[in-house]
Amino acid sequence: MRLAKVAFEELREGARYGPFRYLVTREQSDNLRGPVGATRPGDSAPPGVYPMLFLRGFADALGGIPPGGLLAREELEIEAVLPAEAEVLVEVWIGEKFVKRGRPRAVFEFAVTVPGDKRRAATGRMVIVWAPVEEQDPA
Amino acid sequence: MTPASPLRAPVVQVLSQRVVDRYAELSGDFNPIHVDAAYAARTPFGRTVAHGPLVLQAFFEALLTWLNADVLPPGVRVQGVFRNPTMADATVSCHLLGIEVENEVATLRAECRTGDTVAVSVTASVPVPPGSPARAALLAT
Repeated sequence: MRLAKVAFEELREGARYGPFRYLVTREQSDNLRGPVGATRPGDSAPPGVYPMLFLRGFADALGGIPPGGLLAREELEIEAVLPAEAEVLVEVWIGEKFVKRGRPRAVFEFAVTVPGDKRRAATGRMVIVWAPVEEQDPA
Repeated sequence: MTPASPLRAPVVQVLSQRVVDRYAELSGDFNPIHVDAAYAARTPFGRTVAHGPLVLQAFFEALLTWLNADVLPPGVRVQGVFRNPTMADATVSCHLLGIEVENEVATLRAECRTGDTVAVSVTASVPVPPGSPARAALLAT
């Protein structure tokens, strides 16, 4: 079981991680195609592959979503359709870090490219929000 | 701006604990809030919570259903704002709230809900060039 060990205070705006190399398998694509929980064969990677890759990148960059953080927003831009099985590179960086209405927030950016031809397949971002500072457990 | 067609039937899916566990394996996100019932019972949620991207996954299936498509074309943009946590074993229904087609892009507004509670509000922009199947599906009456 992996949990991020990096606290909000330790995140550095502009910090970059990766690129991490992953093989999207046909099994993963089939698991993420069709109704949730179903397995449906197909030749192209379904859109759900990208958030999965973002989380994988997150895990390899920071050990996962930092402690106490909640996913508040997720965005995805698809730039190319990948085959059901594909090797990809995922880069992760911290786009912004700020406090809004007393709540720490960080914007994590992701880029998925195809190695070799450097073709961009998708970009995305996840906004993580923490509890208001005064409610956080000092431990 | 082209008037929207009648909105589509909601797309309903169940995010069972088995599905949440499988998503943890796929994504590498084994945060105990998702997969450890004993841990989750001690949190304010009281039970395991589905991964946010898994709720978005439910939306993707709904979007593909509404577009009558197997894949999302390049140029698609999706923005999801998570309003409330979705517990494991919840039934999630994705509702299409609005369609606006301007030039060659359709903007869809949708919500995925558990009961009456909004889990995620989504805006999706989809290229729909004239003659495309996606445009036909969205504008069909």
